[in-house]
Amino acid sequence: MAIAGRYLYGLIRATADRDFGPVGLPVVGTPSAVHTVRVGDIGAVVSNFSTKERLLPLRRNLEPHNRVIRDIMSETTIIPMAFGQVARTEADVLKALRFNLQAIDKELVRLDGKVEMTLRVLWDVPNIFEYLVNEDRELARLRDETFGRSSAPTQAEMIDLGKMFEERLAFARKRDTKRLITIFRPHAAEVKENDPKDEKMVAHLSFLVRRDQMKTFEETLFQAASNFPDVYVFDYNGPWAPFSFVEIDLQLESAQA
Amino acid sequence: MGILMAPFNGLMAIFREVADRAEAEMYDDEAVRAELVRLYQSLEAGKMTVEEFDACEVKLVERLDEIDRHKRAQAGR
Repeated sequence: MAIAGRYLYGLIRATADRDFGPVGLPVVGTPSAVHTVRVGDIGAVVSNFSTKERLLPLRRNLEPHNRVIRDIMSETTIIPMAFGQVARTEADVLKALRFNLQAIDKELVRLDGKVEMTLRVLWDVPNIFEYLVNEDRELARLRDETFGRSSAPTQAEMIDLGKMFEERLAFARKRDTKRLITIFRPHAAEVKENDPKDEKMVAHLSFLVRRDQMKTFEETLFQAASNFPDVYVFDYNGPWAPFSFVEIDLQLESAQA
Repeated sequence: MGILMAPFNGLMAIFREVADRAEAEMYDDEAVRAELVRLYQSLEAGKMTVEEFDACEVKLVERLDEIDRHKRAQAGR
């Protein structure tokens, strides 16, 4: 039986149909053929995918998703899709393309020749609370008051200390993020702040960088890392397709339950 | 002087980036992310075969998927 569903990797400019070979998400254990579905000079990069199959974010699915996008990105501009977009039928893909044609065109122009770099800055300390206490006299004083008496601290006192810690953590993050953005802003077309997912994370930033500015961007990165104190670790990755900067929403009706 | 970590485009980096952007909210659970990261590290260090990895990963992700569905049902979404 023919597979009606289409898994979507991204959107590219294509004046003719393209065939990228059997490199897509596996269907019944076999890599599926990746090809374009076109309207005018806009192509959706897709592979057949059964909507009856449950799509989980597993390595065997994440890897081809990422590889297809990365390979295409090395030859042309791609609007990458987040993992997990499945259309019920090819007709649904065509409908979404027609409906969004102008917006896609505009997005391809905006992202042309640009890549995404991600930077996570972390406090490389065993205990973030201890670290902030050592940096902040007022927080240290409240900690000593709370724990320094012979009687155990009350719950209210613990909450007050916790609150001050959270405030100081948020303040330090805001201060350092602002500093980082000021440093990188001249070398990036756009900057996006992401929520830190780890308590030791100072900042999690995504940069949209023009390929011809990559060298100065990386030089700036080295310089910035050397100007921050030792406990700050700069973890950077890329280039990626500009996932964080895609503004278009194809509004494909999800084929997944 | 801060410490600079070189860009790393191995499996781990891919997992981290893609998972961050996946629409699956299940990855918001820190303990689960840590467990997945551990699995990826073992695979990359060659301490685990791809088959062993896939088996562990499926179990973990399916459990998460169940939790996620349950949460959604509770929230009435």
